[in-house]
Amino acid sequence: MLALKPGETLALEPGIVLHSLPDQEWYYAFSVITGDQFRLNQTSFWVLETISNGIELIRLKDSFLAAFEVSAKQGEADLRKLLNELHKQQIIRRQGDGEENEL
Amino acid sequence: MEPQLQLEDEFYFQWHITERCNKRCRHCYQDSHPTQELPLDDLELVLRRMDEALLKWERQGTLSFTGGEPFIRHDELFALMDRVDYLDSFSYYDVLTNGSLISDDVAHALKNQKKLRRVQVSLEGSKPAINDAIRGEGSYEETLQSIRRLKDCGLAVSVMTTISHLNYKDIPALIALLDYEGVDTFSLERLIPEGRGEGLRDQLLSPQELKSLYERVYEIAVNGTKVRVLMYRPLFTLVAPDDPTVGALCSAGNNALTIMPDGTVYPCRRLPIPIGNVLKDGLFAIWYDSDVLWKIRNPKNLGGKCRDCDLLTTCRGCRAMAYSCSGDYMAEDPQCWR
Repeated sequence: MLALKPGETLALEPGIVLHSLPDQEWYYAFSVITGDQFRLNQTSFWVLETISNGIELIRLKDSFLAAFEVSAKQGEADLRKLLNELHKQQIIRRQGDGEENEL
Repeated sequence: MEPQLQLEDEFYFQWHITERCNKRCRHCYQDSHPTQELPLDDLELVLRRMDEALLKWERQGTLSFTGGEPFIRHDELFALMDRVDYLDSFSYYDVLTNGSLISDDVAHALKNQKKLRRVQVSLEGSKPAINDAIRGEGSYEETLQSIRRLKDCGLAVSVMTTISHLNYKDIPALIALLDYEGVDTFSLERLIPEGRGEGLRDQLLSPQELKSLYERVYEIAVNGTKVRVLMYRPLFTLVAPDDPTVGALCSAGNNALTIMPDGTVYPCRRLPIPIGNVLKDGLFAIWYDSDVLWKIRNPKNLGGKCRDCDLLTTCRGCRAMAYSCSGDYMAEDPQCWR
């Protein structure tokens, strides 16, 4: 499971790029290294875009709750589940870490 | 029966293995400065990159080998065709040539290629005077001989014509000639005034002239010829919006890439904006992260009358024509008659 400390920062895995065509509800993450492509929903895309701009976990959580207007408990659970999935898919990593680690 | 693919399953590469050419056609999109060519080892690496991408994308590849004149690199061309013959990722390939180097030996050798679908030659009119004024003295007869040589070997032959004021009135007669010669398919490409063709800018058809031509070609294609006329090009859909065999979205940014002799990649050969190099950048980075491709993919970026057209799902005009005429590849297609 993702065992992040509030002050830690996440980053996109090297080679991951994000692109969207919102009018067509196209949200994608691509790896230019492996060629993998990940179709995303709008929420996942928002989280990845926010991570790509560099943000501490605690601020990501606050922004997520504000952006999607969910309860703190539910929002935190949803975000953690999403981050775990993005990590499992090798789309995100801990900032500065090169080694394998669980989020 | 020729192999057919659903468009969404297909990914098309147009591969210019050389820019050297033994002709100096007036409408050519090349200028007179051929780019550096890759040696065979690097060409094979390019092919591996294509194979890798197709497998990852789970798309069936189609490929056109072309130039310049591709048979100028005879040995490399046949080596690459041999490779593709055994790659599962490719359904078939075509060779696009001016036909002048197709001897009996070459035609027989082509017959042995397993995945060769068609050989496409270029012919600009039904009479020597029309064709040779564009492609050079003697090329009409040379091309007809090539067509007959290829047909005699049982190969499928396609003819492509670049339409301009120099030949558009002759297109019905040309289709009749191709019918007589047993040509399998015919396609028309609009003159894009770039490269050497820049000098023919005043020969572009007006929107109304293009409309009349496309309507006439459609009528012939439906009712009057054994030649299969390929009409899956932007603007053709305006002629018969309800006919699914007519018109198509431009493949740039959608399901095609053009690779130049040095590995440089363009969205389309007629839209010569470099978006990377296969060997330096890899196809994934180009396809996934090119700003040019993403701009083309989003119809909201279209300008002029293309932007709000009700045929946006089947036609977005030709981006190369827009670029050539305005410098903006998202501008409206200047030959659209709507």
